[in-house]
Amino acid sequence: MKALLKEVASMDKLKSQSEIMEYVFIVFFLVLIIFAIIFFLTYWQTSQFKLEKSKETENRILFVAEHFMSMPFLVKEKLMFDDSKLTAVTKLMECEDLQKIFGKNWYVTIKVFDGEKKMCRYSNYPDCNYWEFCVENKGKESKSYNFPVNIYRKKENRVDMGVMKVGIYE
Amino acid sequence: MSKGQSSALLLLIVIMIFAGMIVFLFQLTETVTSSKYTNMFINNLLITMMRTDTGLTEPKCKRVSDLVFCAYFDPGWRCGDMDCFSFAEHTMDHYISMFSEENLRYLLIVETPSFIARSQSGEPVRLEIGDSKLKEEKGKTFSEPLTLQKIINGRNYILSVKLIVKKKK
Repeated sequence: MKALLKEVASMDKLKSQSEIMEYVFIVFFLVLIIFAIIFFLTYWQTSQFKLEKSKETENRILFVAEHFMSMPFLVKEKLMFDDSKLTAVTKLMECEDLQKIFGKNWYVTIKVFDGEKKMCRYSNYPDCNYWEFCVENKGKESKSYNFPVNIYRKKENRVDMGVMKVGIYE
Repeated sequence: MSKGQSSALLLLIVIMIFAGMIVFLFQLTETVTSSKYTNMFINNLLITMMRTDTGLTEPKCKRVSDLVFCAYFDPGWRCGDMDCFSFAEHTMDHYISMFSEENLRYLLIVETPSFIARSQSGEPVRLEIGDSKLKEEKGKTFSEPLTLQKIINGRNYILSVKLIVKKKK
């Protein structure tokens, strides 16, 4: 009788222990889920901030690009740069003058699709095919987009195709 | 099934649902290429390409838009060594390949804007320059239709062109 009672008591003890262990596991996993949710929400917020910043940079690039492609002192008509005007502006205007119009922290390069890059100056015009504005060579990080454009070659009276790269320094 | 086992099973199901939601939301956080830039790029590409000189001087072959008119209305005409259509395709291939970073396939569709031109057999006349398979594919971008106008022998001709592009895999 005593032995039977002892056995029943030990079985009850085992049963309670296993129930306690089950609850411990459940609580452990619940805490794990809560931490996972906290971690995810933090990551989500950070990625939303990065996305907003990326959109802001992109809107800035599109703003500079649209206005650069239609500035009367640079173009013959919209999307068609005049090579004589581009060369004149690189000579006569400093980056600070252009920044008063377009804001700061941007750069623009224009290249004609006709071979190796030759920077345009008064001395080599029109035997050149590349212009740059407000480019900083200090290893700054930037985000940029390319836009197809035309370049009107005034002396040859010819319209060539090229690419305008607009970038924003980060 | 004991109470603890059924709680553990329920917990497992909840964990799986949360994991699925988290994976789904992670995918949403990927940055998507802006449609504003893509639209601006493709419209710029079409307009600038049509206005570009080909290097030839005769009126039917001078600009890419002249090649398009030639290919549509006078396909037998030769520009240099090639017929208008082949020369148009060759020229467009060349310019689009210059945007190697974008890595694009393209299709230019040329049609009459306000009525359907038909051939003698009654088929609609519609010129396609580039990769015709793009018509059936998903994930492509369309430009706005561009109207080209040209006076040939005292008569005014109008065409509507549309560019479709898609990035190569």
